[in-house]
Amino acid sequence: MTDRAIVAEGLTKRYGDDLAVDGLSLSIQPGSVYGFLGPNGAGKTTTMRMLTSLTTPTAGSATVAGVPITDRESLTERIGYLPADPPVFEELTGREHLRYVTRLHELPEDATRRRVEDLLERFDLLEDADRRIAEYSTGMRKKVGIIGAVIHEPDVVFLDEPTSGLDPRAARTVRNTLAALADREMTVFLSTHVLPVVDELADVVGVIDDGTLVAEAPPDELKRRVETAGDASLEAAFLDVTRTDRQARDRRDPGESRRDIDA
Amino acid sequence: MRNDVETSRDGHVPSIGVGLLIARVEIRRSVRKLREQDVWLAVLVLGAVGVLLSLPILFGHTREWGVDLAAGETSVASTVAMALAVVWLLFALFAVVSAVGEYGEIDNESGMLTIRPPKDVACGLLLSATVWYAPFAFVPLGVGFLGLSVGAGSPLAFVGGVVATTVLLVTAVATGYPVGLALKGVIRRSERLSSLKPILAVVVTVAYVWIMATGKLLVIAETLEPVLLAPPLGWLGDLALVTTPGADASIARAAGALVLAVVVLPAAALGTTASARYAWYVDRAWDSREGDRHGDDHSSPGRVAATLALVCRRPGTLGVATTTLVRAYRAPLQLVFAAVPLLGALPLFERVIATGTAPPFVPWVVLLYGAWAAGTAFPLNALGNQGSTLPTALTARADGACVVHGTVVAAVVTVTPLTAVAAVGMGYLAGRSPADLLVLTALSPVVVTAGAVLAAGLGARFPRFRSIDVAGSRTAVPPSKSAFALFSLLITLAVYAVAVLADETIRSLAVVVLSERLPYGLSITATTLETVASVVVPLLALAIPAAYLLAVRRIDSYRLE
Repeated sequence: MTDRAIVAEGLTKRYGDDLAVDGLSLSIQPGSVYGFLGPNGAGKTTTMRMLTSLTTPTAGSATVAGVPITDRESLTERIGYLPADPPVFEELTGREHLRYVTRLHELPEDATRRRVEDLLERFDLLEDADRRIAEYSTGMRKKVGIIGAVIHEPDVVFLDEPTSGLDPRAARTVRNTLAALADREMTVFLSTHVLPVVDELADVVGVIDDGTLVAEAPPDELKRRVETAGDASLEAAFLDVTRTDRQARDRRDPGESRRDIDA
Repeated sequence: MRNDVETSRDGHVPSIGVGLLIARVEIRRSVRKLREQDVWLAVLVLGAVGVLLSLPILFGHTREWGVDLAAGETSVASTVAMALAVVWLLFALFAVVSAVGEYGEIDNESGMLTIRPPKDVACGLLLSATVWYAPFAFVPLGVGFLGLSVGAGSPLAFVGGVVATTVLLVTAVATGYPVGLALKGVIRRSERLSSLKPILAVVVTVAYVWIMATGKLLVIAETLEPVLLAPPLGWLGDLALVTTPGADASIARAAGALVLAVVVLPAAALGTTASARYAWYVDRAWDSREGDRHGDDHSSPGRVAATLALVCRRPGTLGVATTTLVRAYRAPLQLVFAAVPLLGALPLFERVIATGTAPPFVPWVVLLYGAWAAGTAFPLNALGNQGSTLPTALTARADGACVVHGTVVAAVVTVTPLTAVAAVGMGYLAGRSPADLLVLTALSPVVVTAGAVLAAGLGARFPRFRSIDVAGSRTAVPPSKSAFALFSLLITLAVYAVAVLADETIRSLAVVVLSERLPYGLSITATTLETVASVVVPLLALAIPAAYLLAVRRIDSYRLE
């Protein structure tokens, strides 16, 4: 049994002629925050769907919390997943939805009820908890989705754009929550375009471009790559590594252009 | 907090507790959703009224069966067995179709399948489907067996019937559902089948209505009788009648039905799990790319625009017309409201095909439907059809005239040829003269255009923006009830009045029909009818430009709430 939270070896996903993810390999420490960056259509969501067993890889293998991604039954009790579009049921109230999620996880009733209330309060949803999710704003739906992804304290949580649509206060709450989760040895795999979030929280940043992992390092190390150019920011580093990758691809195959898919 | 002793996710057998939880929440969600779907609620109420009205008839028939059984007339037993077998087959087919469609879909798949393994989710969906079908089984069959019980003079007959109904429902759904899921997996893996799915859905719906409305169900049942009465389906009859005095049902066969149910259920659970995996974990084969990759304008929208440019002067009009048609082509289910009357015309089609002739009024019915469909399809809710792009449409340079012209053009270019061909074809089959056929041909574009413009005015006056579920995750925005009712009334009046003026045969028919239906012994002459029609037609003709002006001004001045 590996002691790594996530191990991927040669993960590949092909949709017909389109190569969405190409031989992705990574190894993530338990209790760390892994920031997963990439341009639109780079393969971030496809990667997450493979790691959560929602999509079958064309090639390669991976384990999450020591469980092969082919073992869906065991995987579901060890992971949490928040896709970009929060998986919430509009016909239910916020409280009903979270209660449903906790029951699906077969969590103890009393302790779970308290935890749901605590999280609703932390995310400023207590007053609206008995309103239908159909009436919620985008940010409120996102918050319910985040709570649903972490309520059962999984070993690994996959979050796709957890702070998009949130006001600054709510975004800060999410960041604090993620930091607290990592302190409690939960591994956070975080995909986002909000670079300050990654800069603040991530222990390691992986950059995927056109299906390939083009850079992987702690944020400071990535920023040092562009320090000499005068702008030592994560944004500059991101632009630099993805530009470098595109130039390398163009040199290899000047006439070819791959079509991006972000599933 | 995580339950480390957890085992329900493992293995092949679904967790019944979790399955029931999922079923309970799915039903709650569906009920809440249905309460907000006014169109489907109306359909449900109408359907329920129809069923309730037929229940006394059913009760009467089965009571007679019960009397016959009590008198020793055992031939009734085979009728009961046939009926149950046919019902089983119908429910199994319903379950197949449901699983291929909406009941085989998971809402929030990313959430559900990362919390529970597919076996539990599939179990939950299967249970919720069974519960949804329960009223359709227990109400009619319950009333039927109640009648049987009253006729036979024994309450035990009802008990046997209820047990048989339970076994019927559970085994039919448990058999059909995994088959449907497997079919869904096949469709999802095939690009061709995926693209044909809406058409397949239409074909299945039309076939179902055809069979039920034309009595073909009985013919099919008679053909399949040897299979339906043979084991194991035939055992349902014995199970239902084993407690009915005089039915002479076999206890062994009745027990066999119960045993089979016990065997089928776990097998169905495993089959459902396997089928669910096959259906849900697949890279869907459809190609969502439209047109040429290299950006040439040989795509569908490009070809449509090139064609419509012949009749659309302004770019805004061309844009609205093109987009309207392309959206309808890619999501045809949104036109389901315009297609519903065709189902009611199936018996008429059957008669035309069987006899090779058509009644004299049919060509005018075709013109009426063409005008109605042209209005309902697009212009009757031009504002609502913009959906989330309404703010863009309202703040663009293209004005209300472009929107009205565009939606009318989209309706007219598609509906007119079909209407003309159908009207002339029916006119030919009705034995109309060449002059009459020419009149029908000339009138087709006129009534279709008039219908579309009239609908644009009413739709702009009474827009609707709330969508309803059509199938699966697909939604559509139907016209408002006010617009729909007013438009249907006015266009019917208009086409009827034109028919009375233009066609002597129709005029004579109308006189006969109206004279039979007018109250207080009133009657009407052809001359009076012609006079009334000659007043109505100009008035409604004036309504067309008025509707146009209303639509343009309304759209130009529309403000978002």
